[in-house]
Amino acid sequence: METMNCNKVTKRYGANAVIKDFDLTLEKGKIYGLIGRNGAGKTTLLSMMSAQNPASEGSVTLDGENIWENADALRHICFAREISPSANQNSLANMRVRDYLKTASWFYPAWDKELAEKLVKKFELDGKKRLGKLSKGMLSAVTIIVALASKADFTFLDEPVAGLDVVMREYFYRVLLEEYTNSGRTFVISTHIIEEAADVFEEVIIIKEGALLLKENTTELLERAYRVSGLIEVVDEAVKGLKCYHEEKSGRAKSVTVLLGEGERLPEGYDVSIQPLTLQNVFVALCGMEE
Amino acid sequence: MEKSMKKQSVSRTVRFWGGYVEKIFLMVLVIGAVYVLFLPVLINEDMKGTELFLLRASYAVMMEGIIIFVLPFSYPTYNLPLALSFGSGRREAVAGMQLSNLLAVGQNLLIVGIVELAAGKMAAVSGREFFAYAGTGFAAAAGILLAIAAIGQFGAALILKFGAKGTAIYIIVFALAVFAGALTVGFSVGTGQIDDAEILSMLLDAHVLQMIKRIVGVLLTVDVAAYIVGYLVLKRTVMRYEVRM
Repeated sequence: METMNCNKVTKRYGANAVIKDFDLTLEKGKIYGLIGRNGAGKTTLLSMMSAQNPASEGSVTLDGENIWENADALRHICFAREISPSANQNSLANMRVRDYLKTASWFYPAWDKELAEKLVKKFELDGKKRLGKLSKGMLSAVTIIVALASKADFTFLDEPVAGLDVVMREYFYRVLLEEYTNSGRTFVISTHIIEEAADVFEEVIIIKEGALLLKENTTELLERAYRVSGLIEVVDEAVKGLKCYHEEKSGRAKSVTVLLGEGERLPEGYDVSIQPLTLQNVFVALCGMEE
Repeated sequence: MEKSMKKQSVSRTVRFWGGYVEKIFLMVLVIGAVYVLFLPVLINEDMKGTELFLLRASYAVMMEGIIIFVLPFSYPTYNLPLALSFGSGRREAVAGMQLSNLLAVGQNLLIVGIVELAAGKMAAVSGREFFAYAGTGFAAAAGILLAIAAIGQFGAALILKFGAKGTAIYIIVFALAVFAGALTVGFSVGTGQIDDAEILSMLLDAHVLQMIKRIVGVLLTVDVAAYIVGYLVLKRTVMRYEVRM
């Protein structure tokens, strides 16, 4: 399985389009970071890319084959959702961790039982415990185990580290990289804890209000993103003609985020401060609230 | 490759959907066994032999029949979102639901059949008399169970589409159907129309037997038709269902 494509995918709930004309290509053997603000459409997008929910328009294909109701394609995809066994989902809440994982093993043809058992121990999960009795962090651990042990070629994780303590988060990134190195699987990880995961993402996909804002190699993106600050007039002059985001003013000073385009260079000879940005800074600049 | 995929799909459907029904079936069987054991104490009547056996058996069958009614409640809260989130197709999930119904109805009929045979032995009825009596009882049980399964298909679609409102509608419709059935039986018993000896003599009358066969035949046809329509409605609903876990 080499590539997955979203072709003009749209998802509507009534008149409201949550995902709009989304085109995306995922290549084999990469870790993608999917970032966006709350309600941007990340989970909706992943649910359509795994055929868990139908698209209103457009299609998702795996090596050119539509994945909808396509058993051959679906066996290569795993979307490990955040589990939230609420009071209305008694049966799920009453399910024991070991039964949940056993059920998962029936559905994923390449299920790695040994890896699942190893991760249960590492995450200090009690197999006899019911899902409804688990903390948010432990539920995240169960989700991670399903994702990794599924051995699916295209694996999507929705907020995998939400609720995990820092030690477990570190362990998750380590085991994810190990699995990625050994198997060459493709991972898409949606997260709000951007800075921590930035080093893991080979490419970053930024989604804003249901539309694809940017998909780029993380290193290349950071190499062309800068914060330019100084006196208002000087900064305005220095960044003239460049694509600027997230302007912040403080008295006579201001700062802007600059994303250099192809062939563009940083301003020289101006009395301004130029600082490189982190992925989180770039994300805030692109998707944050304007002053 | 395709054959092995099909085998895999059948295997997980049987394990997931079939296993779930079996778990509930065994659970109800244990509860039912305890309940029917204390039935004479509960109803406070002095019953013996075949009469007590049949009463116990009919309660056991009724309790197991409840499974067919409750199955649709688990679809939106457990089976369907779980199966879809683990990569099952929707058609496969609908097939799983049909397997659940098949197992629930089939096992229930198996119990009915065993009860009929045992009752026949206990009452020392055999031959034509037994087939007239037990056969009609079996066909009637099949009709009732299939009717519950058909209502269940619509119920599952209602619950999946409308959530709590759908659940309420399903319960009301089902309660009305049970009430109508109970009213008919109760009225017949009350007016003395149902009496074991009378029924047996009626059943042994070729004309009456023919008429009953026709009625049961029509009822079963209506059940099957309702079940097929229910299946199509459920399939359509499942194909549009949105997973939210």
